[in-house]
Amino acid sequence: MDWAFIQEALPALMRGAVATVAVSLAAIALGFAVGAAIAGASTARARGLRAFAALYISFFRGVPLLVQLLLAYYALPFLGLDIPAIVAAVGTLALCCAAYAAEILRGGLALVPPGTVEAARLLGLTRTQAFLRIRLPIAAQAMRPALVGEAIMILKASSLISLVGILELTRTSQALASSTFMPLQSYALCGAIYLVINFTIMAAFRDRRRA
Amino acid sequence: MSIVAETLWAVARGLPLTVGIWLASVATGLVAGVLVACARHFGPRPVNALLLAMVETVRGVPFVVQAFLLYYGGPFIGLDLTPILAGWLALSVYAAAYFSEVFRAGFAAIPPGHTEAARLLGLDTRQIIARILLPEMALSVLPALANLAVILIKETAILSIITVPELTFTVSGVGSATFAFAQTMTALALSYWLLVELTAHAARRLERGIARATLGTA
Amino acid sequence: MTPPFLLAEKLERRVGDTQILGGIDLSVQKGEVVGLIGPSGSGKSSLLRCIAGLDPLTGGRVLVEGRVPMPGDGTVGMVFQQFNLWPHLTAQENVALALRLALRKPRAEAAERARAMLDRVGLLKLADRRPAQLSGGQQQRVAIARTLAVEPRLILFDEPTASLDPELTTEVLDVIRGLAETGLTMLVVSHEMGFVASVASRAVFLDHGKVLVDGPARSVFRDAAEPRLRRFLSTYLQRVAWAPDPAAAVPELLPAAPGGFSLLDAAASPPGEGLPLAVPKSGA
Repeated sequence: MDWAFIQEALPALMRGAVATVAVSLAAIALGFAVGAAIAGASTARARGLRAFAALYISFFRGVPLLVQLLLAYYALPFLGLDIPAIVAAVGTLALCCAAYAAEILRGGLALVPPGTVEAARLLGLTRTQAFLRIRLPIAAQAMRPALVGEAIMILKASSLISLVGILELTRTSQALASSTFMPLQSYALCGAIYLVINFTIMAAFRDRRRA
Repeated sequence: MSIVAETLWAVARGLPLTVGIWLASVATGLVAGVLVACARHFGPRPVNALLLAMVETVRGVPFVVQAFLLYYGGPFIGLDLTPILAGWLALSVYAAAYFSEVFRAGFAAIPPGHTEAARLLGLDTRQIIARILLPEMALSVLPALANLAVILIKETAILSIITVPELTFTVSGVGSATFAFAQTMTALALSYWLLVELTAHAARRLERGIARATLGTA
Repeated sequence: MTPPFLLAEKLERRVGDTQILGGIDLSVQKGEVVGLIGPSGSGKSSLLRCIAGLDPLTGGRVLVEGRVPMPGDGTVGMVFQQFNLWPHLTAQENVALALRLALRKPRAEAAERARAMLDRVGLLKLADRRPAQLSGGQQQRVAIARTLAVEPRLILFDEPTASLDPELTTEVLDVIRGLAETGLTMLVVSHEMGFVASVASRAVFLDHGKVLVDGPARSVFRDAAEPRLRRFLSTYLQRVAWAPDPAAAVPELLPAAPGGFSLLDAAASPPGEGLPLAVPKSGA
């Protein structure tokens, strides 16, 4: 274990890790917002909305994220959209996340026993109250493992935005590997940091209700 | 050659390798995945713990980093592989980790009594796995396995980064050469979309067919 | 004195803080049919599983014909409460599989033997059905055929009818009775008291991991002196008879008859303590 290497490399890698986490958080937040809209569209009465939602989900889950990023980064300028790389990167990540988020949200809400909502309505709660106070919390609990999985997926996927020039953890490791000619250690350390972030996420959202 | 023709030619060159590496990795991954799941289910606790750590590591590190590690770091431990070989190996390991989890869940879902009855009747572990457990869980694990296989098609795109001349590599090559990014990237996206949708559809048909064949009910 | 066919000496099984088996001694002669009764948690199933080698013992030893049995060596066979048929195989395939894989019989011979076993339990016509297409009673009979096919020296039955609807229980018990009459050595754990009393030659009452009563079936049921046994039998009867009337005269004992049973000597029971009732003969 080359401690000297690790000591020298760590500060730069940690900066990269911070960028990775920041990008992931932004993508997840945006992604779930858009995902909620897509989920809503997929259960709408209008056939057009449902078709759009189905198409959206099919596209963003069928095309590799790398290709989506290349499409956004290289092709969009040709359509006159000149957006900074970081926006394109986070935006694509968010749109991709939205497709998965929509499925998770739809699945979670479907798991809520209709009886609980009926009981709420019969007791006098309005539709909105029943949704916010009953359906959503129950669904949130049911979706918890899927949400954690999704967060980890986005975190790992964020490594690809390194290819459109964003200086996050993977990119930093690449720079490190080429400047020190030690790819083995660089990428191993990089992987280890990803694992640490993952475990932190899993630990934070672990089911604590086991009294 | 027109852009369209060049792009189509690039697709024709890259697609076979994409499909080839995908199939090869899925095959290797399934075999390795079953072995890992068996070792974890039947093996001693330390083996289970070690394999658990390995599986979680492979599942927790981005695939691109694993590909880099193998392709660029490999030579330092005597593993000097061509891009295609490195790509296949990296994807196989990635696939095996995910497949093994599916198989493990499959094992766990089978009532322990089925294994006990088999053991009492004289079957050895290999026979129990091959004749009882795997056929019994074939139907229940198939959807998850098919799902993962489809996801792996998308992961092959990452192999372009380590210069494997698959679909993404060949088509984006045309793009950089001609600057016709909009057309080439769109074509690339559409190609994968089609490939993934068709494979997913075929997988669903396969599931239904096997359901009818094994349990006598659709 | 011939050494016992099955000898269990000071069997102990401890899991964590619980003493599941606390020193069990049991010896069974060839051809005996031993019924094991007792409340839930008394260790009956654990005892069977330890004899079969499915659960490890923390003390004592088991010998069948002088040797320690290992699961799969053909000594001990077991019929489970949950049948444990393999769902992807037909009835015939279920019975034949061990013949082919463990006894290495050729396919044709295994199939023939499997069909003969299924015929013995009355299910030859359903040989090509899968478990999902069979009733619970039929599934259990297939499971019995499967166990018989490998000709074990000792067969253990772990609550064979507990998972069955009452109408299906009889067909399985009839098969087991038939086996007993052929001289097979059997240990049967069951809550079907009438069955145990009429088919078993010996009855063993377990409570909290210990053998409290061990003797000829008829006298164990009839002369139940041990208070815990009486309590066990009476609560069982009260459940069956629905509404015991403490003021009713305690009926006379009737001798055990084929296909039926009745229990407990009135004279030996103290008044008011779970009064036993005679249960009418159950139909065969």
